[in-house]
Amino acid sequence: MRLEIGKINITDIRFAEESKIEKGVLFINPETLKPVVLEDEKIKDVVFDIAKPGESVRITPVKDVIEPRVKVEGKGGVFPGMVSKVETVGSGKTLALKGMAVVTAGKIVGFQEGIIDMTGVGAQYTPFSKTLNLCMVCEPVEGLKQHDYEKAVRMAGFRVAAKIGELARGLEADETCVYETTGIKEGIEKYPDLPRVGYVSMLQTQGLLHDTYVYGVDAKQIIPTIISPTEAMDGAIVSGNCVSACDKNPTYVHQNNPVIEDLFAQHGKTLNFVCQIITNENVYLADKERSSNMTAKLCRMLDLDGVIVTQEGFGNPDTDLIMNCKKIEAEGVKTVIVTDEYAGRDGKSQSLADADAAADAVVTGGNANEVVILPKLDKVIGMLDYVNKIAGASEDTLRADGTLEVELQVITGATNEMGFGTLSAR
Amino acid sequence: MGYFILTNNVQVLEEFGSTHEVCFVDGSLNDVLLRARDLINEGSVLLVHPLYGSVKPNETPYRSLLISKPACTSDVAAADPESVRLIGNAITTCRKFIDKKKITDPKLLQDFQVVDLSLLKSAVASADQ
Amino acid sequence: MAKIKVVHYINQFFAGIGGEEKADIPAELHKGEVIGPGMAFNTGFGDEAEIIATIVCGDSYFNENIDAVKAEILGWVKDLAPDLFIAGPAFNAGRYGVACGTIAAAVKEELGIKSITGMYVENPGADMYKDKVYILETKDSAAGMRAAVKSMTAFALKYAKGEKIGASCEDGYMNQGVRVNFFEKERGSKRAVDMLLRKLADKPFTTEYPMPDFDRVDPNPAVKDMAHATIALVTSGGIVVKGNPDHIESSSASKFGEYSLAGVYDLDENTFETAHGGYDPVYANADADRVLPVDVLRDLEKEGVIGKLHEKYYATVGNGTSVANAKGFGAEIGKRLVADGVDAVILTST
Repeated sequence: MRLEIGKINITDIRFAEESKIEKGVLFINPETLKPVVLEDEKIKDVVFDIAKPGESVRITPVKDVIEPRVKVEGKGGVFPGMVSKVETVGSGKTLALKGMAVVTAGKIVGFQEGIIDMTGVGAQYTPFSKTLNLCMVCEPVEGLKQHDYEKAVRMAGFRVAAKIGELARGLEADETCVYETTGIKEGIEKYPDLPRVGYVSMLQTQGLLHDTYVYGVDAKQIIPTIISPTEAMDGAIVSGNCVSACDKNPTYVHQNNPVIEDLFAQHGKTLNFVCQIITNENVYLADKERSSNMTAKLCRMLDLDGVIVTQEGFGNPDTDLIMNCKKIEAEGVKTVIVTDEYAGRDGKSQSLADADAAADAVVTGGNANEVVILPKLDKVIGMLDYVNKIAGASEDTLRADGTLEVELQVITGATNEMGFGTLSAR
Repeated sequence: MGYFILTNNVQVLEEFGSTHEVCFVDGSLNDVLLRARDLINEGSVLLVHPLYGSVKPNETPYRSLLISKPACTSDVAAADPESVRLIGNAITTCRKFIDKKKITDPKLLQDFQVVDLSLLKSAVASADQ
Repeated sequence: MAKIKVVHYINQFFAGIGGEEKADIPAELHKGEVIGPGMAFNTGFGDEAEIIATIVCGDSYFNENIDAVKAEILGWVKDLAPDLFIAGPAFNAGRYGVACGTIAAAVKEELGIKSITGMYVENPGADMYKDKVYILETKDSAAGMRAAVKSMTAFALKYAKGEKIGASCEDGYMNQGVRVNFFEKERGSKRAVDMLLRKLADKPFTTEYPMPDFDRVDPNPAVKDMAHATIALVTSGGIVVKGNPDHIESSSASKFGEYSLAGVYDLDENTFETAHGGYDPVYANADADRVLPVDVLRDLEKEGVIGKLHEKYYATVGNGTSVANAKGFGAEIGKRLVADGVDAVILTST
């Protein structure tokens, strides 16, 4: 499959009468976006705001981060199965608004975490301090159940991102990148001497606030399967995960999956990037066994020489990760796993909840328990309830001088387990 | 397979009390894990991962586990090594999170209960298939 | 700003006194003198720091008189009150490395003075002390002196000035078993791709998180006939004959003890105690059976459940004891148990 991604560099976002993109500036009339959100009767109101890199702004509690894209050539539309029909995507041409993101926020549950600081120490840790963020804080109708609220905000984010993406239709890309995968036979003929490499992405799938969707299907119900990595770029995989801010994979990271990008960068040169294998992280142990068996079998059937495995979330996914690694290695396929650590505030505890000697090649996104002091910022988009009361690294998160003492785990994307950031630990 | 639910979440008791065997623990998340450990030592097998969910163990006060009834065929209660390993790792993992102020806000507690119930439901769905 | 005051420790060889034949010279304090590698350190320090004294000791002397010489050197260092203590570098010299590690760790722990040393990663002193004191990694021989001095000087100044020490790989010290965050140059996905390419090409690669050491031992087959078996007790809980006759250390034990249980049916506070420094000793001292269950085994012996309790038991202190030492103790204890015809062992810890 061949996908062109045309990049439209966004250099500023401004509220205006007319929504349009002009010379890299995104003009938005929030009044025209409101109906897109409120078409879901479960949402009572929405407030839009803009946060720019370097501003003294804190966005919290963050639910999802989404990159607006629009499909201009080829089959299907963005977020298939969610806002577009379930047509197979991943070929043709897609335009992406680079340098910006739609950030959904709102207190879906009382312990909803996720902080994006646009300046200060916190900004170093979240990748979304570098994007221009169009934030939407959604207020639910009275008495709305947590499940319904989560779904309403999730879907509203995709609709808004798709609507903004539409503004790019007809524009000329500032830069175009081409990503192409081949069929199995074609790949072997084209790159007979290159190692065959796959990418195993583990999707968080445990229940409310812990879900991931593939073409609209709750991934806890899938058995592992293969997709073209270009499908993920068109939004075939979206996040419904609201928990564990530091190591959840927002939709933005699925769309801009760094492992896919970096494997494509080597594709045809030092390796043959064969496919992406998606698998899940279920609660039930027999499901974990079945999924890891299937994943290892797929690696073998595809005659892969090596795979990179990435995970999502805290605790039990470590068991899926280790099961996958052990079983894939046992099939004679070399693995590198990407994870993060919970080594305690002092860094002295065992980092992972599971371990095996087969996991001899590990990339880490750092220790999520490490404590940071976040400065007091001038403006808050969203609400500070969770941060002040629960998120803290000590009894008193909110310190007398207005600064916050927290563990990295509350910062969105801080220890991403797809290798999205540069943070690491030794 | 015969299994029962070990929980300290009252919503789980309400949801499954009439259709499933529920063993209610009037205690903390840690108490549930320790109880599970004892049951495992007596021959029960864990059916779900004890660290399910990404809500940190020093935030949510709730834990619900599916546990098989011990096999009555063996005369010596042999603990399932995989269950022993998982529960041991889970107890250790929970210990490395610092203790925080006990959460008393009823709305918040309810949210934790809802999420815990939802995660358990996904496991029960797999178990009852 | 006043210069940072440094005291330097070296062995007889690097002091230019002599080789193995001079390894038994006692510790000497050279106030105001800069000797051997100290010259290079002083040059590296520039205006920021200076060596105010050099302590020289023979490697054999140090290791054979460890307690006395440690106390003597600590006394000198205390009086000199430097801002920083540097030992070595020891490269791959084993006894020198152990001496550097021992004295550097003691200065840090007992005097609260910042302290560093340097040695080759396979030097036995590295494994023993890398979690207690910053050990800078050096080459395996003195040919690496220039590089060692360079990295130790840079680290010493940073440390002495109270600047934040980064992750081990950033600042060149041996990993202390503590996870420290830092920002890499490349993002994680790129590092993963690079690591996979190396792994696929069978080239060496370094994992960012080494899995915990799984030194698993397959269990022996079950004892078939317990009623005629000789059972021994071995403990890492530090239960020793009252008075600790072998002077087993309360932490980082360097030895184990062998004690008789002939005629002993119950351990009591007048005859046994614990040497362990890692737990509250009150209950173990009041009734050492709580750690070494002699009373219960005597009961089982009487009831005929076991053949007999072995007449000797072995004890050490597990508190911070190095894996290398523990392995050595285990091998030796095992040998003696086999020689005595013991069928099975109950290991107790705390």
